[in-house]
Amino acid sequence: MIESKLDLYIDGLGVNFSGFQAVSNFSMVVAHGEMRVLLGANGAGKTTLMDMICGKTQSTEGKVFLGEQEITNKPPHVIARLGIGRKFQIPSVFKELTVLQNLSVAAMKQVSVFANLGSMKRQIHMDRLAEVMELTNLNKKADHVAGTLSHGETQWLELAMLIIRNPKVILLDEPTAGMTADETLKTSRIMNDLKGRHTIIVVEHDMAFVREIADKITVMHQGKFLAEGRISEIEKNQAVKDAYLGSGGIA
Amino acid sequence: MTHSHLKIMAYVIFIVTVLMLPLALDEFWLNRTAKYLIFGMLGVAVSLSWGYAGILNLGQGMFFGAGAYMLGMSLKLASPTSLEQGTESPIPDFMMWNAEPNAVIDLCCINSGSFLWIPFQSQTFGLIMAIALPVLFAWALGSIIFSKGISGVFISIITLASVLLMRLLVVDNQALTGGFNGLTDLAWFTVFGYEFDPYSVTTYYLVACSLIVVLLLTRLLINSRSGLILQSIRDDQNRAKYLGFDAAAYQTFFFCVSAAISGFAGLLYVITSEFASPTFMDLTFSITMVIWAAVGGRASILGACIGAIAISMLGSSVSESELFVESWQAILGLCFVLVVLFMPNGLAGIAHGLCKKFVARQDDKKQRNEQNKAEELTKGGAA
Repeated sequence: MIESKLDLYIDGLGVNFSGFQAVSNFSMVVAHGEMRVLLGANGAGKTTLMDMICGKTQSTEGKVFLGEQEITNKPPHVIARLGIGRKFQIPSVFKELTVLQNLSVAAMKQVSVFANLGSMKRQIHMDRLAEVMELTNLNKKADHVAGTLSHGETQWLELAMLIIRNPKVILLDEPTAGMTADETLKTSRIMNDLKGRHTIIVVEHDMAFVREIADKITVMHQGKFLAEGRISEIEKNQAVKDAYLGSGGIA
Repeated sequence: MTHSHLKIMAYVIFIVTVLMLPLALDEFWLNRTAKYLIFGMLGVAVSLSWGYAGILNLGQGMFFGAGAYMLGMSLKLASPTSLEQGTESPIPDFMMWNAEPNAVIDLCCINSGSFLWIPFQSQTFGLIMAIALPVLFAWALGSIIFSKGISGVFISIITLASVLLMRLLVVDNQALTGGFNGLTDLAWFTVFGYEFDPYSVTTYYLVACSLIVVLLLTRLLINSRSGLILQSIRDDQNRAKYLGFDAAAYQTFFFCVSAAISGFAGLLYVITSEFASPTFMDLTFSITMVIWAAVGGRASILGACIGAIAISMLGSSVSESELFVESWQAILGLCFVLVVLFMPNGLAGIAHGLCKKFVARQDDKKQRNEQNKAEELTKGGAA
């Protein structure tokens, strides 16, 4: 594994929503194959940060690089094609299509309209399809309509769609939100399986889950960078303690 | 027998019926049925855009009207009356009526816009424009709407306003378009010297085969990878975007295809009915198309097609009896409300459900048979 290679480089990123500074001057470097967890209280700007990386929100300052390439404020589908996959907090899948159809869409080799006018078979990553369905426990649900899946299964389906697309960087916004303890455990198994194959950034509140998966943690507070380090370091960090205990924030 | 077998059977039955109809119908009914089949084609266009792309277009009539007028202009210039008037080039009669006293009687300059008619002396040009203009409109409208991320009810409002605007322009420019009267007294459509008499079997087959081709091509398109991606965009546009698909490009493309089908229907309608009228761009007509698709089943190409044919057939025979002349529109409206409330997938949805039950029962039977056989075998073994 090439540990030194950088996959994601965020330089002084910020956004101002007509007067409200949601994120300001945020910088972060994520190495290839790393699993990074973003922590922070509600409103710390974690989701906004992800929105800016994947092109959902237009940043007003700073830059984002994917490897060597700058991707700041490019349209979402362009950023996605360059290799950033995003999973949303509220699971979003194609509800009227079957699980297999959902995954087939994600497994398409081509993205343009005209290149896709042909029939289904050859232009889909079939081998990956089977592997990912196995990994995400969906192989028995292939013909079910996605709208009928349970909450946990819907989350896995969306995760599976991302994995099949095989992006360099995966952004996950609370992948275990609303899951039972058992489902959370399964999800952490999936995540550990992905470790090293993709560069992953996760927003998560469940500390047990974070302990299970994280390499390194970045803490945000009120739209700013607060701390970064291994989980043991973060737990001892005074600034983090102050911010979380709500002693009026950091001085 | 599986579900897809039954689907194929439905298509086969429909196609065979359409092709066999001339055996049973006289000239008058043949011409009428041809018009219903053209409405069926409009049902396909609405289903593609509403059911598969999630774009509820309340102005489908603008594409139909554009197609009708484009070929209508060519057929108008080719009519005997137009050919008799004018010196160098044929002149439509309404242009003569609207001409200034000292105007030059020529297409170039009888009025300020008449030069636009010059290329329509070629029927081929009219034919090409009947598809190209609707596609151009759809492309212009679609690339604005979809790249701005406008969706849902706002698309409906914009398309509704567009069709009204177009109708207004057509009605207001009487000297150029024939205004309220539209284009009447048209020549027959002619290919290599063969004239398509609107009341002939040949014209019926022209329409029937066009419908079948459109139906099958649309089916292929939906079954393609792009068709699947289109449906995924309908379900969740954002998810598709963040997988790397340019949602606006897909929506614009299929919006254009839907417009092309409508334009094609428009040109066929001019051939069979011998007129083009601004009523094609009436709001009621565009909304009627949506009702066809809703009742037939918007998520089914064939369902919407049959819905359009059945309702327009019912409508014209029912509104001939005095009892229903006034109330037919109200009945149609009521049907729409009931369908939306109680069978969101229309008639096709019901057929779909029945098929599913049928297949499930067959599977059940098969299983039971096999079980019985197995039991007999074990019994036989024991004896």
